[in-house]
Amino acid sequence: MGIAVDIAANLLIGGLLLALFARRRPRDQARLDGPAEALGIYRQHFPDADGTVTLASDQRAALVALRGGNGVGLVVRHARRWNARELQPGELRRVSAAGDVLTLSLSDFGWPASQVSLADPDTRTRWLARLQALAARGTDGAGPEKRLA
Amino acid sequence: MPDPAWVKVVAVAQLLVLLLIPLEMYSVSRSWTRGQYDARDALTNVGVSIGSIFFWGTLSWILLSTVTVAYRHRLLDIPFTWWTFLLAFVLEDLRYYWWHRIGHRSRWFWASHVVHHSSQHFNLSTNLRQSWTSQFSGLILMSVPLAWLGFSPAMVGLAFSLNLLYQFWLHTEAIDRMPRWFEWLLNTPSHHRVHHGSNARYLDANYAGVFMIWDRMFGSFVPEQAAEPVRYGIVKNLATFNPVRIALHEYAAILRDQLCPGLTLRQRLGYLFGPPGWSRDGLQGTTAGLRAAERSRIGVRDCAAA
Repeated sequence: MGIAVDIAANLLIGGLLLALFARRRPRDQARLDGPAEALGIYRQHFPDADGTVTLASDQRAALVALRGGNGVGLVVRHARRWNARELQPGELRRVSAAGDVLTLSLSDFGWPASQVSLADPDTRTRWLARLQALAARGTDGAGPEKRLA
Repeated sequence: MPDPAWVKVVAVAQLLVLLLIPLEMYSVSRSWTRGQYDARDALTNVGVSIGSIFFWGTLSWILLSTVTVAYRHRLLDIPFTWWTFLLAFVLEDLRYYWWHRIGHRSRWFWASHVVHHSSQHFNLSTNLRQSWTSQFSGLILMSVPLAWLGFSPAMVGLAFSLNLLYQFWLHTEAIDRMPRWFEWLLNTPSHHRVHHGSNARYLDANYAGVFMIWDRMFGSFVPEQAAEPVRYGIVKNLATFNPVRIALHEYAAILRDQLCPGLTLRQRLGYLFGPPGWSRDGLQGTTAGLRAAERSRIGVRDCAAA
């Protein structure tokens, strides 16, 4: 079997899946119920973590002000799973605000960016300052390259 | 030489089993079977698969020429009979076990294989999420011994294809457990769910392709526990649907570590060939470190520490 046949078979499967998804429309309605659920999800990835949670306005993400340091935890929805990441200096490259949305640019090629919507202006300003400070510490070269596979 | 008709049958079968993917997706959407599909995740798998086929196909001469050279210098002339093929199949599965184990235990090889583990979903479409770089990671050298021994490249290729064909049905949540004798002897969806788990207990386990006995023999077998549902994915999950990022993200992470100033040669080698998660700061990010952290949390002590 040539490459062309294999690629054609994959395109066929992709087409069938697209048709099925369009027909069945399995929408992902998951939302975080509250800070406790967000912290619970975060602890599945970082069991010893503790901190104060800020839920995104759309309840599809959360930021965790980690206790004992300036680290920040991030919980976001990806596909139909919750992802969590501990942002250390050096991992957060940049943060910007546009409207209600904070865009976090990460230095991880496999997790390039995430967005967190914060409707409350005070909360947004506070988080923007904290995240910008974290990003600045990374560019100072202060960040340990703390890695988890 | 195996009959070319057999080779064609296996190749066609490999294409036909792909049709099980939309069938499973439909079945899951009707709640007939357990599982979960996400449109973007499944279509990303298709995208990664196309890249994988392209690179595998265009670079397959590397593997073919390596195996052909080894076969040219073979020790024995092994004819194609049912029992020599059976022997080749078992030995090929043993090769697969060690290839797979090394692919998980050393970061350079993991950078290639991690692609297959990078989805947080586990369904038949996960089969499609395959490496783009397997031809030049260096692990193809593990195909040399069988050819050098005297098994023809065609026989080894057929055994390898059958091995991969067997593994297709392992990527599903639709099947809970097989009969006990089957679970003991052969790889099953339950064993393979464990293999795709990112829970500390399930990391670096169940490398088998077909025969589960290799994991039992070499101490890497971990059974699926009802009390601990499998959390699919990797320790540091991805948040992208871009096939290029998925295929190359760990290489980018290696490069980033290598560019870190002030590293000693030993540290550079550690970041390149050490276990995934290795850091100059310690082993806490490796499987051993994560398991130790979990043991200390639940109050289990090693004999040596008791």
